[in-house]
Amino acid sequence: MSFRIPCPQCGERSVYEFRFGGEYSIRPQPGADEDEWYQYNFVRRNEMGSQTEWWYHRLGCRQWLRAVRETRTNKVIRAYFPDETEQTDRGPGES
Amino acid sequence: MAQASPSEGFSFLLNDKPIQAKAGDSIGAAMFRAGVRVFTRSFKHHRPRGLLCVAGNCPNCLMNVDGTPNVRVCTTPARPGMRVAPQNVFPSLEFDVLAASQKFDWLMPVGWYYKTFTRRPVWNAVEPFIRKAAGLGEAPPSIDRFSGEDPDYEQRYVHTEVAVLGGGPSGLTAALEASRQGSRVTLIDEQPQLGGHLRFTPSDAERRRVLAGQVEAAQGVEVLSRAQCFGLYEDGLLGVVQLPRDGGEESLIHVRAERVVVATGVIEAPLLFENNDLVGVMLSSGVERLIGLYGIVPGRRAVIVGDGPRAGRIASLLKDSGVDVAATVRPDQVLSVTGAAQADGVRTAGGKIPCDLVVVCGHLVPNAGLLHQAGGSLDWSDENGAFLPTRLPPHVEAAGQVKGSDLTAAVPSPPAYPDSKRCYACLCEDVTTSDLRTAIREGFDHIETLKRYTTVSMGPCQGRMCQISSIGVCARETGGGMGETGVTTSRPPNPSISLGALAGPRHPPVKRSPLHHEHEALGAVWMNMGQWKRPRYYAPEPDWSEQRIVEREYRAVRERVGVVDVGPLGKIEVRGRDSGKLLDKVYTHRFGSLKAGRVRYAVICDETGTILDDGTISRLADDHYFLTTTTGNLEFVVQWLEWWLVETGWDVHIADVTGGRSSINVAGPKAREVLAELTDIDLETAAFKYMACRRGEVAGAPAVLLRIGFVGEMGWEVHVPADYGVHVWRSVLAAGKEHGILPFGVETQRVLRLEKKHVIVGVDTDALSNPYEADIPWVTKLEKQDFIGKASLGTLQSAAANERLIGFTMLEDGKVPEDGSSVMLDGRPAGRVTSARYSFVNGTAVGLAWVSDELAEEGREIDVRVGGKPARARIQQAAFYDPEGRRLRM
Amino acid sequence: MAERCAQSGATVVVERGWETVSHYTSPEEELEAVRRSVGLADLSRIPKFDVRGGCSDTLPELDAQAGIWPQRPGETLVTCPPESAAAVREQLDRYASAAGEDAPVYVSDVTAVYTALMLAGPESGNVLGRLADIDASDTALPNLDCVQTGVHHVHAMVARQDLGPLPAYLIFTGREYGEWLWDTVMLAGVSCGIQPFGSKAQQTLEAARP
Repeated sequence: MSFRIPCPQCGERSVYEFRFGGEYSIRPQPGADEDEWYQYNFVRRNEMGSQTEWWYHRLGCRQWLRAVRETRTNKVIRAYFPDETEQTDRGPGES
Repeated sequence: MAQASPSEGFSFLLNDKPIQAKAGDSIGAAMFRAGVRVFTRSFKHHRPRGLLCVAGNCPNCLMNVDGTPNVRVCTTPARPGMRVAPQNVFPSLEFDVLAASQKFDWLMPVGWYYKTFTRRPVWNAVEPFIRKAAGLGEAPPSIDRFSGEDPDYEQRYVHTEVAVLGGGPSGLTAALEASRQGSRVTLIDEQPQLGGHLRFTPSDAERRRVLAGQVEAAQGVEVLSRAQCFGLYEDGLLGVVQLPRDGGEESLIHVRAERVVVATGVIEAPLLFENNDLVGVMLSSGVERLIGLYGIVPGRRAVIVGDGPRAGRIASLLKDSGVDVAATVRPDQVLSVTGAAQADGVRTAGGKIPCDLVVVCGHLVPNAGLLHQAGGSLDWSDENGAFLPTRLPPHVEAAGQVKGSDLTAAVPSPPAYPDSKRCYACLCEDVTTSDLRTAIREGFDHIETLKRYTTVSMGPCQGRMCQISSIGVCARETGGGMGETGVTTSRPPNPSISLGALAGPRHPPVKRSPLHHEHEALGAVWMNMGQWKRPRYYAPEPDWSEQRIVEREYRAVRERVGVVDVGPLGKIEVRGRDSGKLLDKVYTHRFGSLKAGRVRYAVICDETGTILDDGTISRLADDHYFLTTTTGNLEFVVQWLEWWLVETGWDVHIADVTGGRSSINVAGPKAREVLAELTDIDLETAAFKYMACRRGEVAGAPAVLLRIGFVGEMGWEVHVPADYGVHVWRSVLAAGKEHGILPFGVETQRVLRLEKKHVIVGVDTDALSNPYEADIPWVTKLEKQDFIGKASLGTLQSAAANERLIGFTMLEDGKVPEDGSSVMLDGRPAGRVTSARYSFVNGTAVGLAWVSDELAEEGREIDVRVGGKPARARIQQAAFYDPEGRRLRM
Repeated sequence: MAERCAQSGATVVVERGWETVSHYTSPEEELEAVRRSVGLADLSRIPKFDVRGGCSDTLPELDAQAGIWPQRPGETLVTCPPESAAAVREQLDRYASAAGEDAPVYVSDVTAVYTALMLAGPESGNVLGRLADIDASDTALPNLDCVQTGVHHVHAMVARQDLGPLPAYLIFTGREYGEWLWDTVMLAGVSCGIQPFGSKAQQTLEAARP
């Protein structure tokens, strides 16, 4: 495995500069039931295809970014700092 | 043994015999010129083998050079003073006892181990002998054989736009073209000189000179000579191994290229006939290299096995070099090569033709392994007699002979061959055509299983010499075509690279406290805590036992005053208007409402309620917090805090200042008196309560003081900018001298904190520990609006516990359990000890352990395994020293 | 670092309250080594300021020798020569107080948080190539640009600040890695004949900057 991730700030960098932060999932709202928490904590979608996931650029700009990667070819289709996106993603910080 | 490339004649040693060499010779060439013909003994049958390819592709010249095993002497440059020795022979190349195994080859057909040693006792009995007899080469006892020092291996990184693999005419042309189009080019060539096969054909000398000259002159073309690509990985990463120009170890180069041009040419592979492995049987390109590169005449009288223009060309070359060409014979006309150890003739239907050199016009195989690795396919072409690379990924292309499209088959395929025990398909592993047929008849008729069962192509040549022949045999036996039979998967590294080069310079990161040299001067005995170097304790005399050393430091802290360097503690500055909000979100306790000047114990849990880290949080100002974390989790905590900040838009800035602060803990009943001499801050409890923080100066340095008590005595954690560290440390030691101050180390600190039952996250907790089971339920404030882990912690609070963290004291003298020992109940494991130490104040060992919920009762007696036997202990929930914490609040 | 330098027989002087290595062998010899091949100097004492909030592009004009190194959006590292420390700090504080309520700016002194080494000379790019997986070509890392990367898996910031015609790079890591970084760079530079150089040679070299 030696693909590169196009960090929005640092450019194309070896995947080994990053720490994988898991699949992108929406955190359950306060008051959500146990099953929703169970899904969020323990169940993975494990996409064959396009997966949105978190990466931390630990040997680089040390920022969290989200990447969309084709899990069959490891081609990273896009990588962005979540603040920049126009999507109404609810990331970890949204409560 | 690095020596400069010689420009004149010199010598090296083969065993103890000096061999003369000329400038530019490879070790093998010089040996051949000196008359050496047998270079190795084969792997299984110990047959004598000699130079075959002279290109580094076959296993016939693997020898031990200066202690390094498996060196291909046919391509390795000779240097003055080298020590060359054979391997895999007993006692010598000329007479190898194990060659007798050939007489018993009927007992050792292909796959014989699987069939013979089916009973464990039998295998256990013979294994040592087989191990001794098997294998190729011997690893040196120390990494550097003679000086005992480890050699330095270098690694480096190259970023380029176009990587061209191969310095032959196609590679040189591709490099020039890319460079003219404005690309940055890196040309990777395995030879010491550019030109590829142009180097050994005299008619091409001028063409070589011109092309190589253009490339060397071109702007933007970097040439890496003596470099081979051993792997073509994902996303344009190339693994390249390079030999240095002037001796020394090979180095690893990570090359990242946007485009890769593979111009690695063709490899000539041997044909199948009886005794095709005898010394004196050489490939035509091997003969071309001996003559063209080294000016060596390879024999007196030759028989050429080949056909058409190729055979004609090699015949002219031999005649021009003074070799008598006795005959040219078509491959299908050869019945066998005759001779005992060395070839002395070729037998055809018409009789034996005497000769001392058999020149084989072998298969021309595109060297396309890297293209296969890159994801391309290899499709058989009958016309070209080769597997041609196709369907290459967009960033990879093939150039030149490796494409295979202008090749002509050496023999029609699948090739005919004798079913013989002396017709070798695989020279590396001594796999004969008879072995292959047997295996296929036993059912291993797929090329992948045939390979694994017979080990054909699994030796040092990795299929270069044998792939085409073994596929041919398989195709013929199964009745399928070459294409249908297919090739096995090509995998890196090919060629091989030493583990040393892959590991690179052995210089792992080391973190040092600003006070490092102070500790050294005070006699610190060092320990590693992750990357940190920390003093375990300070040894006053070399003959003191560990217990005595620790007790001395322990008593200083409990009775007087001690000072410990806690520099490695993770330290984070959190600034911004919304800092409190973030800390409330991430930590389990309340921090938004923590008053300025106060310190609170802080725990992070994940969403399942598992403890991730602990530390302290001090509020220095409205928008300024100072966090400490466990030493090992600092990086994680920074990442975790940053993650929860994403997309909030909150005004929070997180800065890791761990290395920038020198942090010490002054602790003991006299701590106040010592510090009072160095600071104007009022240290009396009325002004500076336990769990408070103040800013001021200590010994003239700007400082943050936290009154906390990990070790259970009155004390302050003093944080100053790292550059003041040494000064403050020395000032504290000086001020404390009259009070009998001693520096103490990590081991003493561990004993002190254990007596207070203070938990260390990651030692006393693990990946399943939650605050309720770990006996710190008060850190969770479930009334908070929302925080990480709230949902799970709410459930856990009322749920039945699986296990609990309890304290225990040993009831038997002299029994000190090791961390990790089992807790036993009725002879069965019922828990585990996380920390245990001898407690000086209690006169017995104490510790923390996880036990099942039913067992976790005050006063309950349990057994702890000490030295393999159960020892009695009693559970105790209160701390083992000052359970009310009075000493902390003095 | 001072201990390490003293051990290698360097001449240490005190400049502005800081122990500094004036030279290891002689300033002339060290200058020669840097100009011919590559040299390494410990610049850990240079003032460094961490500016959070605001934007690197809007920072005021600082000292000519100051370095403005954007780390990520909303985080800038500023370096300057020791003699300008007070002036630069003042300018940064004014910048911070001028910032609006909605976008506060925080300035802190992080001089002690980082180790800074200067790798200088025609072979310095070569040595960098042995330390980090970055493209250090003139197009990818021009003068006054910076990148963050890993040196043997340790986070580092590499800032290019040429000395006139000589390429030069500042390598920053956490202070706790100081001695290790020095050893690592010296080891990587062995094949290029790397030599340490002190403040005297450094001052001469810096004078070549416009």
